Amino acid sequence: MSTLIAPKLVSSRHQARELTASLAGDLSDTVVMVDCSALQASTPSFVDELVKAVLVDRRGGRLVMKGAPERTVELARRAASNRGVADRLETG
Amino acid sequence: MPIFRRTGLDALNLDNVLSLGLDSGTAMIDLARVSFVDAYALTGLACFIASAAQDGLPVDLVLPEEPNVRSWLSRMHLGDVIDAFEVRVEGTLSRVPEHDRRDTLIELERFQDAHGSDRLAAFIWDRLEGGADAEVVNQLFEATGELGLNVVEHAGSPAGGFVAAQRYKAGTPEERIVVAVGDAGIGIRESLRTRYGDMTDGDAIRRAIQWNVSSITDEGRGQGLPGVVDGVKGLGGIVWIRSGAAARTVTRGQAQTSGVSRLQGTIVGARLPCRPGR
Repeated sequence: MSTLIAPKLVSSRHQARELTASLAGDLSDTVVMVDCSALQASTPSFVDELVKAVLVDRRGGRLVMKGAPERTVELARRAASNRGVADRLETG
Repeated sequence: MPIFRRTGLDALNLDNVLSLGLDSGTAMIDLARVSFVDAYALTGLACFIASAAQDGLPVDLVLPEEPNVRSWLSRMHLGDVIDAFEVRVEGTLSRVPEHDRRDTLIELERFQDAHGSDRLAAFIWDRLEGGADAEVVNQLFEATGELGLNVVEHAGSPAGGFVAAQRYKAGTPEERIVVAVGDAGIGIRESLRTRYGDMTDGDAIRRAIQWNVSSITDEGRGQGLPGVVDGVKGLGGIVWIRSGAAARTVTRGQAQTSGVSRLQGTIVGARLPCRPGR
């Protein structure tokens, strides 16, 4: 499992790419856990880029958003649904 | 149309003080009779100045006769834009003492890239957290982040973007916040043209606020601007979008597009009640 820690505030797609830059190029057998316990607010674009970077570009086995605010969870579900990867997103 | 009696300047009458003399080769802003400028109009003035400068047009600015309005413009750092773009000013925009008004003002700021956009969204959060309902602060954070990112990714604006905000009627039931983000870039119509073909500015705005519409071919795109419009509407607010020669005003039950003087780039603003649930 790979773990990323989300900061307090995240907004641009660039921030999502920076956050995921250290991940391997192929994550097909990997669970990526994003620790969102410090996160207070996010934008739709940041969350979409995070979902894209992990589940689409790197074909992640699973993306777990742990401790995310309700709004971020809503955005993550929408982004995953838009990109057809909702079955590999876990929120909670 | 020039202003003969003192009036406030906002999203709906910004054109009244702007004139572009392509024949004379100058751009003019006449604020002489203005009694009030809101955060949207201030952002619009900055975009107009940047746009004229890009076109090589010198800008002449007539300052308000009202000392209080001049002080407010100075306090909101219009002077930085005047200096950056070498605007010719009739009258004096003196520096004013900056008492701590972090809870009510977000001065006019210029940003150039995603880091600048991130910083401004965080700035909005830090300034407003605790000063309005949590959902309002969250919506303003999302709006600033998304609109700033649109400028960086889609606007093609050499001057970057501008943002300003202000809280009005603090401590009253009518307490509200106006925030605006603008640029002097290619505009929404041109941004969408490659993917969706030619259309009017009004149609381009209408299309841009639909879900999943983006100049970038990627199935997850097109969530930013419609999200801002939906979120602000949902909290009982109002959104103004101006691009090219069209402006659209959107509220919970109504949306209206009107023709305006052509202004290069895009300005998007929102007004939100600070405590919509009360």
